[in-house]
Amino acid sequence: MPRPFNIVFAHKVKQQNYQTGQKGEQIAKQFLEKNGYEIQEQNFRTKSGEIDIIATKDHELVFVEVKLKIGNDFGSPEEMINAHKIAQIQKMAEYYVSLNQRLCQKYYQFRIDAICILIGLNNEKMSLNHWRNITG
Amino acid sequence: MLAKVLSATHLGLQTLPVEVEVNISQKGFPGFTIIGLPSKSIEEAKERAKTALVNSGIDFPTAKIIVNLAPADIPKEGSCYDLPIVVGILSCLGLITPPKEKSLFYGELSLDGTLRHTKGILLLAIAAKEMGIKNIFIPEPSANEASVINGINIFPVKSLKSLISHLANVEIIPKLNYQPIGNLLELGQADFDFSEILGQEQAKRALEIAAAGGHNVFLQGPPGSGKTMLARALPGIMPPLTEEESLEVTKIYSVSGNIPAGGSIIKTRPFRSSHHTTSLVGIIGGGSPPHPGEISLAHRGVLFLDEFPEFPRSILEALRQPLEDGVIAISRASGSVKFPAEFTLVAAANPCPCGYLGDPKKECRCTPRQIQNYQNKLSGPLMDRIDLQITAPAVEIEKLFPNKKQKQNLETSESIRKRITKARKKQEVRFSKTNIHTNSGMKNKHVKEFCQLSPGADAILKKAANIYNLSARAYFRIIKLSRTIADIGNKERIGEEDIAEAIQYRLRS
Repeated sequence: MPRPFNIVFAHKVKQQNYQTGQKGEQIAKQFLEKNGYEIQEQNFRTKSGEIDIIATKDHELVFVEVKLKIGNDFGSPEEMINAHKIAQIQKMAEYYVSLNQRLCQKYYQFRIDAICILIGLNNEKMSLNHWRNITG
Repeated sequence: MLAKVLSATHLGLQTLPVEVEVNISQKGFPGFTIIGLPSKSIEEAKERAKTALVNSGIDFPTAKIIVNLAPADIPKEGSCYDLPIVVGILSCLGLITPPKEKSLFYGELSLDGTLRHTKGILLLAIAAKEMGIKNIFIPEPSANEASVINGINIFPVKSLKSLISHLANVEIIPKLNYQPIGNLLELGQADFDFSEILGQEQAKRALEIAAAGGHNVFLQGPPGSGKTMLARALPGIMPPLTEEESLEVTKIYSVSGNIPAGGSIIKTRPFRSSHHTTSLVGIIGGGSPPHPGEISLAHRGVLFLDEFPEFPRSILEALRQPLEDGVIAISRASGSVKFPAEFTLVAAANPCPCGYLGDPKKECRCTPRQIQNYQNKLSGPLMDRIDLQITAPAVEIEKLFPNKKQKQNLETSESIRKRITKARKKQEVRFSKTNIHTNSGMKNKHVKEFCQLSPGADAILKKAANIYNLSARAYFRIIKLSRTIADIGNKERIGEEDIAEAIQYRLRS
């Protein structure tokens, strides 16, 4: 029996979103490494959410949320990060800190950053913004 | 990195020191938290402090900042903690060194880093002097308020930048000079002069006595007879404030934010006029935190209530206690405060709803029931506290166009004020050893001490008390009133005519 159309469609959209996310994280990772950050973990995932990238530099432990948007039609990627999302990242970050005590003693200053990437429909990079300390 | 900065909070007219502790820690997540029972306006200080620092050319630190307002169990409100918080942050960062002597910081910040007018500066300066604090740093627009306090260094701060360069000894902020209160006091101005008011000699005389001794007045008369005009002319004959009184009044105005930016002290006796739709809290005081009402803002001055019976019964009855005691204690769940309320009540009313009861020319259209309901509003205990109850009848048309000779007979406010000021001076000397200011403020023991009746006067009073069934309070109030009448007449002993005049003011026809 063929699957109903809408389920097939939803499945495809989900897959597409995942791929977009992967691409964004790849770009962000390259950007961070170029700027002297050391990537500690990628896609730290638990039941209640996910942190895209966890990186370190000097004494700082940085939790990075990556947002990628294709095309300019539905607003900027910055608009996608709202208070709810930030609270979720904060909670996750605190959880990560509690799990990795030793790492956190070496890197004692914590921060939450956002990297917002905009690319065009033909995969050309249009802009990349690194927002430091979005909670402070 | 911890810094402690001294500031203050006001509870009613009381000022308590508040220590603003600022800690900046580089560990963990960055953030900005204020603790110590802050109100919403203090919570918002975060954003003001942040933006003001950035706009003054200082990078806001990426770190965990905790601000504690100690003692932590007193609720704090207002925008005055902006400056101490910023000073704390700056000294944590090592950008400034706080002064060695005890210093107090107080004031609201604007987003551009300048300081804004903040209420309660006079109380702060008085408290600083009592606490032995050497320097106070306050916003420049409100600094004049503090200039009447001698013995402390007042630094009017224009902006954060100028404060930073002052504390770094680069550019010193000049201290504000002490200004004696006596030089600032003025005589009050009125909308009308007494010489403009034609007829109504009895009412004028009553207002003169009221202004001299601080007695309460009730004016009754038909519409258009000039009751409101009489009351509005009253500020023109009120005696000047004394220095001590001016400080008392300014305290109330300062804490309630009634002094405009750049203003210093209250220079003239307050004259407050309230509409009958004013709420109970607006007249008596209250709210959370407790705020002074009109009766406190009229302290040492006059509270004029036009259309007296139109006021809600609850307000009229609430006036009874402050009229007797001169203070109002406002007790709420959040705490209890006392505001002084030694005011002269001037009330005006029509005799009945239509206004023409007892008028010789126009007929009253009210039913007896209407009249009774109207007059029942003014309860016995309330009217018992009003010494001067007078009828201001309609003025005859011929009197409105006086000839030259009659015009010369009309006394100006200025000459009436001279007489009143003299009478007040006598009272000042008389009460110099007590804490009362006017004849109306006398307690019964003072009456026995200061009011000597001539034998004839005593006989008249006793007779009147019997015939008119005067209450004990009315008895003493008549003596106090006659004391003022004798003072205006420059007599040491209260004579027969003084007591007779005082008695007739009490008997409302």
